[in-house]
Amino acid sequence: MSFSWHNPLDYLLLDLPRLFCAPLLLVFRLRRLGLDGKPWRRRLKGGAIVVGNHTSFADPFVAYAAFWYRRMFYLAGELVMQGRVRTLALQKAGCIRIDRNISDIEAVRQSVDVLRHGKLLSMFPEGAIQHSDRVESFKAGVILIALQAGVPIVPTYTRRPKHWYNRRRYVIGEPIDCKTLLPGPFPSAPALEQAAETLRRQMRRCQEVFEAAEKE
Amino acid sequence: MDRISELKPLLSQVMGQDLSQTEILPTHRLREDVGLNSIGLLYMALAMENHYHIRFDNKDITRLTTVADVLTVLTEKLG
Repeated sequence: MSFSWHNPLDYLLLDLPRLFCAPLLLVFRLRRLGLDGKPWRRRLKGGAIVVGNHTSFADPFVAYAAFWYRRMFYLAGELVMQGRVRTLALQKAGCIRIDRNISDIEAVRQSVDVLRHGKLLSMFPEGAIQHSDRVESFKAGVILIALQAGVPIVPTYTRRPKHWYNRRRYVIGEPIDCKTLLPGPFPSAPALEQAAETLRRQMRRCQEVFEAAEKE
Repeated sequence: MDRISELKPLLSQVMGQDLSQTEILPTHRLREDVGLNSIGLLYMALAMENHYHIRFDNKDITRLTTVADVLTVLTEKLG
């Protein structure tokens, strides 16, 4: 990641895409809901991982719009970050490149650094865009990153509306301290995978709330 | 204590099973023989970083195929 915590220019470059995305607030007309189905009026503070289901390329922008008041970083797959110029531009906009074909330790380290600086990190732990409404199994890396950084994970769920001009709903679950999902101070890799499955179930709860709201 | 014996407790923690009585040879493949998947490998690398106060990069991780590779990379890092 070519982001310096001490360079004001980097902060400006990080904020520019947020500014460009501001009109999206009008396009998405996002209705943020909590697990109780009521409008979610809280504000996230401190470092946290925002995890969402991934059904379209618009999802990162929806997350931007939902947490417009915070600087947000993204984990982006190697397919998105191709080419020097594009990679540099995306890095400056807060994307952290993760190579899904290897155990990308550098992406984990950068993610932990971002979170320890109290920023939000958005990621899609299903690993790729899904073409169904099902929430597929999660990569356990999300738990590993949260554990290393000591930050909560916030599950969210949204889905593309029928028409682009329809109001979009975005369900935000309760922040989860992943230590509560794991046994002991040094959990095993299988325990991380089990915790990822628990997180997936929390996202499923968000999906249920989403679907109930859609029916109303 | 040889390096493989040092690695066993770390591997046991990462895999969540006692490997003290299990024979681990340098020729053993990390995925097929030891049973580490990609998250396990990443986790083991982070555990080794903490234990030995070293730092891995992606090039090091991609080199890790067998236990011998782990020992080679560790020897390089520890000098």
